[in-house]
Amino acid sequence: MEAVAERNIIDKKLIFPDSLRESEEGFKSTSAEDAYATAPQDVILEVKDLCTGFHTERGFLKAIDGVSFSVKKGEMLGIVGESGCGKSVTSQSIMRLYDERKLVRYTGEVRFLGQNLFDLSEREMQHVRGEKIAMVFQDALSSLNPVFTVGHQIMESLRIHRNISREEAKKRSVEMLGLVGIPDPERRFYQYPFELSGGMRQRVMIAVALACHPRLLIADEPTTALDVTIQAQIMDLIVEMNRKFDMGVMLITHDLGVVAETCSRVIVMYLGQIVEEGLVTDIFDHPQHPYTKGLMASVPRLDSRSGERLHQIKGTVPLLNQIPEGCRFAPRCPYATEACRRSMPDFISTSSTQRARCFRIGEL
Amino acid sequence: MKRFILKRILSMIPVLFIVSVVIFSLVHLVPGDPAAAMLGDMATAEDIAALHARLGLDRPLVQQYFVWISNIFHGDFGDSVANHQTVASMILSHLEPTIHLTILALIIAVLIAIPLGMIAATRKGSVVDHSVTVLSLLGISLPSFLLGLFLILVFAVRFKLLPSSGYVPMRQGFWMHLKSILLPAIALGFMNAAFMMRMTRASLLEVLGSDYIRMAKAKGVREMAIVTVHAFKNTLVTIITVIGQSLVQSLSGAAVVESLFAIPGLGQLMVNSIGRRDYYVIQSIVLLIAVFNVIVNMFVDILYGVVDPRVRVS
Repeated sequence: MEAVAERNIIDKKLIFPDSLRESEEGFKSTSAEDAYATAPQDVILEVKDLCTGFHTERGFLKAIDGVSFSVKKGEMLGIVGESGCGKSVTSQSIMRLYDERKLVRYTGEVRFLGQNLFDLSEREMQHVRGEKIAMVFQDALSSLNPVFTVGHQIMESLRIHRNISREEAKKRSVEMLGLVGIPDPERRFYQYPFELSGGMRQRVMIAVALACHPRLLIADEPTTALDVTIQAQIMDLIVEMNRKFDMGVMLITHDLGVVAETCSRVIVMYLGQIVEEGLVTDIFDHPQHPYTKGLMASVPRLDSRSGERLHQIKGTVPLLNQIPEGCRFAPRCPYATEACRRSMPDFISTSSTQRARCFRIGEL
Repeated sequence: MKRFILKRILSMIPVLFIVSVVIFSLVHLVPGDPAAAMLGDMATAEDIAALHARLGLDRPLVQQYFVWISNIFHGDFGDSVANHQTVASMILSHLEPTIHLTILALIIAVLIAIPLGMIAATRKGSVVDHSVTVLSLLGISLPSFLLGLFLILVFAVRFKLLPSSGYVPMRQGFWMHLKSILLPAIALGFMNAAFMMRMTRASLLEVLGSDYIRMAKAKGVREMAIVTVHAFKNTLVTIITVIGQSLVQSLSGAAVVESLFAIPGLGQLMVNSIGRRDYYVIQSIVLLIAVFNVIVNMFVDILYGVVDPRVRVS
């Protein structure tokens, strides 16, 4: 088992020529089918013990360390945590967006519809990206190519993944623009990203992502760069699309309010690990991990007394080359004991739907 | 787009005016009397006075300027003092070699620099990347005459593939013509290629790190298409700028290479005219190069608008 977990796809890519790789994949496919057979039918994405490390000037740093979770069909899963906790790295590792030649090393498994994405060649991966798993990023202005029209950028997805004519692709792109709530889509089709407002651009990005009706949408802080009223509209759109296409959504955010309103389950990440996982009601009504409690307490409340200071978690997220021994949250945790500083707590179930990584569950 | 182009063309007018005033002043900024300087040490006071009258140097400066400008608009650049020819005819007879040399040098530079720069950027840190860096450093620091000499030594003297010097005009046969300017064009183009290579690599690297490239990858675009379509169109603004600069630079920098390969081009005419103190020829060539510079920059500006929709609006 360990050998599987330690498998280094980059090395493998370098060592095996393509012909060898294919036969190897042929061999693997049986085990993939087994996994598919044993996994519940409605699980579309299953991440198992994912570790993502980067080769940097300061050495090899693990940004993600042993992350496991799953996304079900039609489910909205929230991933929350402070900046630098590895939320975005997790999502970009699933899509294998980092430069695998030099920069990154992945271990573990990302099973999408039973198939381990780390077993795929780059070419096969291109058919997963955009067609089966799509992604929406934070800043639509910098994420849309400034020198191509909006229409071109939607059509491109369709032309890559669907074998259709230009006219057909254009027709579907205009439909898509209308579907994401852009008025006068025929005119907008020919406009450039800089000619649209921030909210419109985000809608365009969603249209680009959903053009091929993916099974899973990864939304990486899709509303962070927008003002509050537009944020609500974009979230409504994502929820609407989630229902319409019955696709799974991984919503990465640090806005707990958005999670409470839209998601059914939540994962809380801290410093490259999952510290707590549960249904939205679990996490909001009875958080178990001190970090989750801290996050909840940091949300401004309407019923708080005026002049009352907002709670804050003391300190900041450590750098990746300064990861503490023992529990990673211990240095910032008000309840930390000697044991917390010495060894890492296991990720244990506290109920049938909730799990947390803390020694003092039940005591606090 | 039409309004954008019109605006660019109109904005050339003040620039051209200032350039012409500066160049006109050139003759008058020379220490001492331009007529005396032209005629040399042996001239008598009467000779100088006669030349003054002939050139109109005794009239007020403003009037002289307008006479000069209106003559230029009529195609009259004045007469060469040393040669008893009109400046216009001298320039015309030296134009072809320089234009062909410059164009060929530019083609060579673009064909070498852009592919290599792109490969270096996409394979950052690889052997190719390091070789390109060394090559461009070499090109920037190696003077064109030295490279020219080296090329003569290898291709003309050693392998006898190409002529070591001289110029065959186009009308005497295309291949002969091409052979006569190939070595000087390589010598001239290599330096520009070096600069272009660095700029292509740097700007492509910057673009490849941007969010929309990550987005393109997340859409399932192939790596080749990401580089050649998504990234390349965004680096074009830089590449167009560098090509424009190279064009102007090789036109004005051709003098050294032309002298080395004995090509009767504008550069050589200019160097000889400086030796003969033939100020009207120098003045006209400098004006020509300056106008060319302004026009190239105008085209570069217009091309920005073609490539980048954001430029058209602002």
